[in-house]
Amino acid sequence: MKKDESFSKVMVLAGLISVLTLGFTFGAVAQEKIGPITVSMWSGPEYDNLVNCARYYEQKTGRKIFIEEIAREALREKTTTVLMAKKGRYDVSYVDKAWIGGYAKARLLQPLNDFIEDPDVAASWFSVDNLKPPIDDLAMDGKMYGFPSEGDCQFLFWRTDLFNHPEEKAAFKAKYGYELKVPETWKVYLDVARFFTRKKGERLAGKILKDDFYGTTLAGKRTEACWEIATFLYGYEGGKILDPETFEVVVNKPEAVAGFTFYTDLLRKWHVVSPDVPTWGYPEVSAAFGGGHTAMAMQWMAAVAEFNDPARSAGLWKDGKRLFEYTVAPGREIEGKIKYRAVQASQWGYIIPANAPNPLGAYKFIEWLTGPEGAKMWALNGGIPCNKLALTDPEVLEKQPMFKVLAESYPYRRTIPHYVKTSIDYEVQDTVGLACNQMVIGVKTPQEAANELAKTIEEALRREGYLK
Amino acid sequence: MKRSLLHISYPYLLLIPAFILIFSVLCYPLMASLVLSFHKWTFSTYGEGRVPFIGLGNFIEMSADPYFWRSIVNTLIFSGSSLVMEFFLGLGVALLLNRKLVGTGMIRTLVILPFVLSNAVIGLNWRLMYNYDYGIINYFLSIFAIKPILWLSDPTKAMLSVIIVDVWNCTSFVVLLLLSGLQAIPQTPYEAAKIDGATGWQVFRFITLPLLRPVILVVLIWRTMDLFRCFDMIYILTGGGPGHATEVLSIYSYYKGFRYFNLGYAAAAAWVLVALIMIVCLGYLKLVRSEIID
Repeated sequence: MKKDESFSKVMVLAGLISVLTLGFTFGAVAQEKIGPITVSMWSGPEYDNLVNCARYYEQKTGRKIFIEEIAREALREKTTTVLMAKKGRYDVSYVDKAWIGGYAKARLLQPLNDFIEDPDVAASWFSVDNLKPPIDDLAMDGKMYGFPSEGDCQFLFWRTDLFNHPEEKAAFKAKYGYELKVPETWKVYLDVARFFTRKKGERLAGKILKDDFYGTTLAGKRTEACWEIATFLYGYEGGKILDPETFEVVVNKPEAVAGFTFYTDLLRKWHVVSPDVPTWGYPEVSAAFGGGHTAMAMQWMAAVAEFNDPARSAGLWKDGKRLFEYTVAPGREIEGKIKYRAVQASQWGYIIPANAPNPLGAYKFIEWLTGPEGAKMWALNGGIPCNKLALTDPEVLEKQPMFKVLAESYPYRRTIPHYVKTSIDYEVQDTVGLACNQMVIGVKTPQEAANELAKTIEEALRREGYLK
Repeated sequence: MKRSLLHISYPYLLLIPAFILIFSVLCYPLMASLVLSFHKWTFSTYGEGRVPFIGLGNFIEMSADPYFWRSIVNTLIFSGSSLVMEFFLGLGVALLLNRKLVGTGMIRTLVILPFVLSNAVIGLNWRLMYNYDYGIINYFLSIFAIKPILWLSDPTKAMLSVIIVDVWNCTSFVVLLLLSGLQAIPQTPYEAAKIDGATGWQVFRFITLPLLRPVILVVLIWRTMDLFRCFDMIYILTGGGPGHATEVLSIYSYYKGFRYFNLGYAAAAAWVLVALIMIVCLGYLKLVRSEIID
């Protein structure tokens, strides 16, 4: 009897614990669903910036903004699952342009055209023209799905101390027959990269090298190569991935393969980059240039802040003096003119989910955030706005002088994919990165990798109904 | 009679909340993913409002993908090599720690240290250490005049690099389990063997190993399941690259499901992984049972 009683007591306790656990779980889920306009943003400087802008907006308009911070690596998975839920949670989501195609096809987004074209809703001070061309990256089939923000571009960074060193200038002219200059063409880019690539123990700018030194950098990691290749793919001979009219896959045609070949040869033929670049992404490129181990770097404008910090980029500072500058990426010279030029770009933006609880409130917030006032505030807080008025504002340019080069890069900005938008954009981006990685490690030639890439993209297009 | 019925059913009634929790968190998602694996779930089909049943379509499509088979081979190589190295290394260390040596307590604590770190931290740290230009491993190699190695960029070496990290991480877990098994073995057989003049190898082969068999089985099954499922450490180290050199089935499934949102296909790949694990573990059990019968 006593044994039975103690057994019963244990069972009662077990049951209570189970019920309490269940209750807390549902309670915790229920707690998360409160709030007015809810915006999802990934963690990092963009989150901090958004919090500042949102607080100002709340004071100005009296409308409450709740911001949910999501880990950077988990943003896409989290956003997609929330967008697909029957009951909406986010009013605004921060997304990459490559996600727009898939979301639009799955009818997860609210088109903004109705808001923009409604005179009772759209603000008179807001103009879509001020957001061109980035806003086109967030549009599909004539519908606008998002307002752009954080449209970064890759710059060509270069070491002023090396380019201006008399010894190096004389040696370059003796070897190549023209003055050492900041590359505007791929030919000069390669010449300069080859010239500055030196082994440990050789001389550079009057000093003996303690480690191998490379002419330039390259991001060849599987998941990051797609964020560098546009400069070469579109900018070397004007290659494309898809024909925008017919959806024919053209990524294995000669123009595209020429771009892939130049990119690959930087490692495999000319050895002007570290042999470890197949594992390099943004952090490794920054570490290489910021540590003073390369003469040039193709890197995102966002790295300027890091390079401007002597504590984080000791190799770019000497006696308080900055040793680097940046400019627009090179292009391909044909018959004395630069015929092809492309700048690797990224484009993020704010979308309104189809299941947003408060779509009108959401629209008014992103209209303000990407409009002249909000975009200027965003820029002054260290962000990259896409509004022309903010980008050319004197106060912004004084604080962020690199926006001048950003504005120069805008006509050449290209993303992967470009020219056509499909629901497999993200998959295309990823498989292009994989193909680049395969070329760079040498398991496939550029033509072989491009052929396999074309086949993969065709299969994906057929799966999604774009091709029969 | 009534009281007896209530008394009998009382504990089961109290367990119902726990069963509901387990069903909703474990069983339902498992069954849902199995059902999903027989459907074509993409952004397009979701957008059209119909997710068609395609039977074994995903499995057939998968079987035609050479990278699927490559991921299975990679999984077997990674799991098999890591398991063998971890087991023999772990057994050796466990046998050493089973002796009464000076400082054994402290050594035991140090041995467990790699296992308590999170896989993400391990992956990030080893990625830095493996760096060709600035990594500490190549630095130490250079002291001995050995050329630097492309640990993660060379497709012929990347898998070995990943295996080394896993062995470093998880051997301590094997040591823990085997050591506890060794310490549970009674001393009487050893004393009898000593009296009979058995050699060290005979003692190990005819006494230690047979008595350690149940623990060895647990170690093999547990580590096999973990190794087949390994994702985070490999993803952080190489992302499945260079190329497809370290793309194991879990990473292959991740790309298909969470990058391309071809969820039906990814679910099918995940169930292939489950089947693989079950086949291997059933193989262990059969082997051990047949040895016992013999």
